[in-house]
Amino acid sequence: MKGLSRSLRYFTLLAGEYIALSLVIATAGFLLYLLRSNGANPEAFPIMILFVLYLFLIIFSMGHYMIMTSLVIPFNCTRKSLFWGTQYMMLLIAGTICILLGTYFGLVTDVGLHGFFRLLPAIAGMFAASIGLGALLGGIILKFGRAAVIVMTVFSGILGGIFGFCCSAFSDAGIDTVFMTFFSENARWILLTGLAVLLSGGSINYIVLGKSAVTR
Amino acid sequence: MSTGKLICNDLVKKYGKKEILHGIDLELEPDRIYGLIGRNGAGKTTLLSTLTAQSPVTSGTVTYNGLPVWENQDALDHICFSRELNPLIGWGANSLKVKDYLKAASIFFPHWDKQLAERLVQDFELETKKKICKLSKGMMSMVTIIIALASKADMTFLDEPVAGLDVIARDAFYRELLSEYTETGRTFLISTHIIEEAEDLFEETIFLNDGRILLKESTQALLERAIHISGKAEDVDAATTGLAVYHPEKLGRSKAVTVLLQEGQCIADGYDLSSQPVNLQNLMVALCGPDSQHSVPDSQQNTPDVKTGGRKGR
Amino acid sequence: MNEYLSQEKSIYLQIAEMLENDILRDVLLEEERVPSTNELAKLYAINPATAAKGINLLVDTGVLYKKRGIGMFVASGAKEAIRMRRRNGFFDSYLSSVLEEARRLNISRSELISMIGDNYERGTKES
Repeated sequence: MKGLSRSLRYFTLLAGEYIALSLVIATAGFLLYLLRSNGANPEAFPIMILFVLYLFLIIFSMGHYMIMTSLVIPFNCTRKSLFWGTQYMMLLIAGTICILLGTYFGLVTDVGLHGFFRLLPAIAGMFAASIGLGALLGGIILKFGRAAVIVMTVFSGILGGIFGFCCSAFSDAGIDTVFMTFFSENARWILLTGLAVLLSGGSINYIVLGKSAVTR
Repeated sequence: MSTGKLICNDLVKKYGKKEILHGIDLELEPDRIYGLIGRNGAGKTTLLSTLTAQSPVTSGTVTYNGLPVWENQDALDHICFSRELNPLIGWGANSLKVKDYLKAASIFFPHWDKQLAERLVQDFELETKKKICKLSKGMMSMVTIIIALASKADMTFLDEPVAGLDVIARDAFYRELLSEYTETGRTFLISTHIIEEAEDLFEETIFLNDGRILLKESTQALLERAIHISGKAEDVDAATTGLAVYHPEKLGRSKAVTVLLQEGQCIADGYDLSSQPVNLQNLMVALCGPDSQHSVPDSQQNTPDVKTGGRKGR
Repeated sequence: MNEYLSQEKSIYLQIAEMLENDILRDVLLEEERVPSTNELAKLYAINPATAAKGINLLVDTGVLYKKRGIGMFVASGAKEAIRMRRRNGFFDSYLSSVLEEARRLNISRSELISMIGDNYERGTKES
């Protein structure tokens, strides 16, 4: 696909920026978590952060598709290159987060790397789901532009709420174990579901994007 | 440097049920400066958008060098449509800083000229660390212009590039454009409302009215066949019988009309009339304004609106 | 050169006229190179094709000639040729509209002739 390399180049650049942003959010979350919980539970932290980042990815995707159609398509990036470049970028972000998480697990938690690898399919599945959902919502926004503002506001609200909930909920001992168990036992199903969401959301996005116009 | 033409055939564009462009045929050649003139709402931006694959056509074809432009990187690599940046929105591309915007352009345009971009940023005193949405209207126009010029695209389109620029800046833009054109032979198509200033730049002028091409002709040939006739009303009517007459202006016994002569035609002799040349701006008002009601004799009525004097409308 | 362009006449005609004026004023000397099409286009902010048309007009009338690879030059005898051509065109360019206006104002032939005769010295400046 001609022009894909330019798209990949640009989205690597963007990925770097967004990974940095994710780290900032993670750190902020970590600090908040330390402040709000009595007795920091290092096991719970990654789960909480993951939830936050999943939601962040969804919201970020919506904003991303909105920006990109008015930015790179006028610069003659084909819609196909934009689509694949975006998926690549999401993968980069998700992959980097996973690596960082794995490091955290290995260094800080009791379950260590072994526990991390058991969870990994579920984590990957959740990432796939959020990327897919983001693509789906991005597609909806492209098609029904005005819905964008409403959707983004709602989701930001939800994100804020869950963020707050996570901070307090996970400070209670035990919930993290529940989640960890759920994730490890159903890892494969979560992965498959996630991939299914990714595929359907991505396909809808691909179709909508393929016919989209640059508007003001 | 490619020598391809950008050709569109029977281009129709609808937004929902509303048809904006009604079957446009256009052929744009290399090494030309074209002017695109038309009222707000005539469909200029829509036309430019569909010609450059930024919007899909409803029907019809657009090709560059024989290749369809839609989703075709090989064709798109030779094209640049630098859109007007909307000062009203704070999201989308407008949320980027100028330097990030230019960086993105430099990645996607294969022939991007970094030195030219840097020189223009300096000359125009553009603050690159500012977000686009925070720029003044004039500065936004500068960004649009820099993208267009530095893209080095064979077919470059600019939509109202001088909106918001003061006189001195406009003059600087015209000179920059000419300098680039004479050096590279790129084709530029410029849509503008500031017609009087720009008419000397346009080798060919295209009038777009209500989603149709009214005419496309060498600017000079067009202006040579346009005359503004004024005098006693009966004399004016008598002298212009059988000619394509537009925009009648009346006051008391006096009348003035704008005449577009076809090849071989002339104003009848023997009447005491003033005849004056018409500039592009006045011509546009005459042809596209609300009082343009005209009389075109039946013998000249084969296609809607205006025929070009002897030459094809494409 | 360096005059403003007006809307009254085709641009290429004005370009040709301005170059001729410069030849008459010794701003451009015979056998000297004249500005290129691109230089003229940039100077007047006009399309190079228009500038080229103006130059070609002068080539056709023999005022300029082309030296391949170098540019356009003022032909020898151009100054005199321009004067001669303008002399021959004097009636059409100036006098015919004077006569038309005079007719409109009912100025008689003898009145017009004495008007010209009486004011001849006053009207003409240093050439």
